[in-house]
Formats: sequence, C-alpha cells, structure tokens
Amino acid sequence: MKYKSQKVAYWFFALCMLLFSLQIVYGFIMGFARIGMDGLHEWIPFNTARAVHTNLLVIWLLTGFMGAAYYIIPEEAQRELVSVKWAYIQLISLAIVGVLAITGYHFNIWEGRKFLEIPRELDYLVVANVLLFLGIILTTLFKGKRQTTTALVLTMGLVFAALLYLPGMIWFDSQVTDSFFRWWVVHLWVEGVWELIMGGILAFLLIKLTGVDREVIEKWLYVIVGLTFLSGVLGTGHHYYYIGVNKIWLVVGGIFSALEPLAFLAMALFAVYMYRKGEKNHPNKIALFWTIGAAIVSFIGAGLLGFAHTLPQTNLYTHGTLVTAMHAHYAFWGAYAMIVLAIISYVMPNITGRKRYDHINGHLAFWLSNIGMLGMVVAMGVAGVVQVYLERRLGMDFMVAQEEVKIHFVVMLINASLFTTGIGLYIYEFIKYGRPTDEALEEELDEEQVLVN
Amino acid sequence: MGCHSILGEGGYYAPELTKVVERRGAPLIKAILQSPVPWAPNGRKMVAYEMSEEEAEALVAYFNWIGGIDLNGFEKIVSPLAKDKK
Repeated sequence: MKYKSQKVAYWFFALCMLLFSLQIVYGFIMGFARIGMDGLHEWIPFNTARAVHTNLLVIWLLTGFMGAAYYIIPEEAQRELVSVKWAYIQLISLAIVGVLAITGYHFNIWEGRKFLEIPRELDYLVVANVLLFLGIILTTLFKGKRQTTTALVLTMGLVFAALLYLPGMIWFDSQVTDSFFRWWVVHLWVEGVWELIMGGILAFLLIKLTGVDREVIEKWLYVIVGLTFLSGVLGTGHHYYYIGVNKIWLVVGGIFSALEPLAFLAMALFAVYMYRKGEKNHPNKIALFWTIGAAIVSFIGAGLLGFAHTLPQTNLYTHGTLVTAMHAHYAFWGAYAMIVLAIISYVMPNITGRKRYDHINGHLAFWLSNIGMLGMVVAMGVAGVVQVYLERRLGMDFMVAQEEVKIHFVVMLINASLFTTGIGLYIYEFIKYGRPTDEALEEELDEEQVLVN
Repeated sequence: MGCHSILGEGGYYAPELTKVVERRGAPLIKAILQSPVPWAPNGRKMVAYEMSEEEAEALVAYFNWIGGIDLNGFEKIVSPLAKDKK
C-alpha cells in the first residue's frame, strides 16, 4: 500500500463478502425450490429469492468495482483520495440503499423488471450515491500527478455505467418499449462498459503481477476497448430478436453479437501472453490464479457460451429457457466475480501488511469454487437443452418438462455445495487477514524493491 | 418476471405467459389470480395474489395485448404447444 486512503477499499471488500454470502444463500433457496423443497414459500417465494439473488449480485459486484477503484486510482494518480470521510459516507449510504431495496423485496415492494427491480424512489438514492463516488474518483484522478490509460479506462467504465443507469429510470407503459430500454442498462453494462472496468482492473493487476511494461499492457487495453465498443453496442440486438421490435435486429444483433467473443478472447490472450512475457516473479500466486482465471473463464462463459445461443436461429428455441441461466452464471462468474476476487486477493496482503501470498486455503478456494461453478453450469446447461427439446420441440407442457429436468438441479445443488465450500474458504481467509493498518505503508515499499527480479 | 417469463424474459421457474390466454383460457387465469390459496401445478407453488375481479380482468387484457404482438416467429414456438393440447 502506497497511500493511506487506499485502506477504504477494505470496507468495500468486506461488504462485498457479506453480500456475496447472502447471494449464495438465496441461490440455494431457489435451487431447493426447483427440486420441490420450497418450505420457505410463505416468506421467501421463488420470485423474491430470484430478485434478491440477482440484485445482490449486481450490488456486490458494483461494491467490488468501487473498492477496486478506491485502491487503484490513488496508486495510478499518485496521490491520496481527495476525501476519505466522503468515501466512507458513500459506502454507508450504498449499504443502506442495498438493505432497503432487499428488505422491500420481501414485502412485495419492487418493480417486476428483471435485474432492475429497485423501486424508482430508491433509484434517486442510487444516483446520489454514484455521483458522490464518481466525484471522489474523478477529483482524485484529475488532481493527481498523472492520468494513466489504466486509470482512465477504469474511470470511463464507471462513468458510463452510471450514465447507462438512467434509461432504466424512464417510465414506459408498453412492455416492449420498457424491455427495449431495460436492455440499455443491463446489456450495455455487462456486455459493454463493465468490460472496460474489468479491462482496467485486469491491466492494473497484470502490471503489478507480471512486471511487463505499462506501455505494452496499455496498448492491449486500447484493442480491448475498441473491440468492446465495436461488438457490444449493437450486440444489444440479440436481446431484441423476439420481444416485439423490428426484424432488422435479427440481422444486426446476429452479426454484432457473433463478434462479442472477440473482446473476451483478446482479454484472455492478453492475460496469458503478459503472464508468459513477465519477468517479475510476484509472490502473490493466489491473486495471479484469480487474474488469469478471470480472463480465461470470462472468454468461455461470456464469449463462447454467449455465442452458443445468440445466433437468431438458435435463440428462437433457447430464448426464455434455462440455457440463458446457464450462460449467465458462467459469464458473471468468469468476467466479474473472479476479477473482483482477484483484486481483493491482490489488495489484502498490501493493506494489512500480512504477506500470506501462497497458502493452501487460497488455492483450495480457487479450485473448489471453479470446479463447483463449472459443475453447476454443466448441470444447468443439460437441464436447459433437455427443456428446449421437450418443451419447444416435442411440445410437452412446461411443468411436465420441469419434472423431467429436476434431477439436474440435484446435481447442480451438489456442485453448488462445492462452490460454496470454496467461497467459504475465501471468506475465511479474508477474515483471517484482519483489518488494514498504516504499518503496511512501509512494508509495501520494501516489498517493491525485493520484487524487481 | 419473477417466476414466469413474458416475451421470453423472466425467471424460467413457471410457464411462459406470452399467448397464455390462448393456451389456458381467460376463466382459468382469472381464477388462479383471484385464488386465496397458492395454485400449485405438479407441487410447484405460485404466490396467491388474491386479486379483485377488476385486477384479474386488467391482467387478462394485458395478456391479450401481449398475445397479439408480432414476435418474429417466437409466438409460433410458444403457441403451438397449446394448440396441440386442445
């Protein structure tokens, strides 16, 4: 740790761990409901559990991105954050908005719009919170000694993510128009500007972990930004095939979403190539595993599995089935969850001063969670394909087909237990690190000197 | 969108609601929406919304409107299921 104010990141990461744990709990509620064990139906019916599960995902990932920005921006801009006090206020208000929203879902206070269930009244609090966050980050960046490409790409991603929240706040009477603009938020976040945030964090981690020249790494970042915008913006069209809008989207969405894996492929090649090229042997192996893992799994989960069902001819049958849930799990895990876990793994030794770089629990956490998630995705994928075949090809009734795929959710739950064990170990290690300390300031300087070759 | 899907978007836990009136008929849909006990086909429970006559009527009108949208062929993937059952 080079700047005292970077310690703020710790509390964002701690909130991340809490929300992530809750997300998994609600995932289990849904999984058990799917195999007929829905004893909590009276209090937490499936629709509530699903809204909480997906919204917690969005909130913990955003919290992780914010924590990452509070750590990365001071180091890149070479100055302290402009205000630590306001950063803490921002964190507390973020937690309050999250708690209000999630609690409301249990009392039927929500909008039935997938991913954007937060009532509009609370949206204004979200906007105020994000403006405060951006204010701190942008002022720090522009008052800093330098504005690096890594910092600018990360900040650009965060600014665009904030702007793209706005189309989701407009009220439309038509389901079709509402859905059209809802994707401006959801798609352009996860298949657009969040990729910039991921690219920024990935570049920062690769610079630190591999020791490859900043110039080389940032050159790649331009390629990733270019590919993301080229494919991601009009790739929104793959959500428009069958929701009641113009047929032109079948062509536009088909072509551009077929290009979407390129940005993720570039990121995977970028990470692996930099790792091999790197001369620095950074001792933080756990962070390195999560970083390279994120780049590779995001290509498979977001890139390949996305491509597998976004051709219009395929999507005609898979639209609205478990195939989408399968892709969503591996894409979010690889692209965003893993990159947040990577930055946390990198940051923790630096802000606590405890150099627990290469421990067995850390490796177990990585492998168990990854094997568990892969197993879950395979189980959901099989369930999805069977559902498509029985329901869409053979014309079987929805609930009859669901009975047939029940067994795959048992398999999914077994794998989910493996995944949870991995994440449990990760959180255990996070807690074991303890609180950040100012003493870590000095230690980092020593470490940097040792690290050069 | 929490459990069901509409225009193919939703929770994938309960049936697609596009063309649902064509498949199930308005009276059954209204009865399910107004029921004080959870509708539970094959044991999978739906939230008991206990809607009033007007609310249920409005929702059926909404489903009818959804059912009339040209979905670039998706409606043909969803609706033949119902026709086969009749």
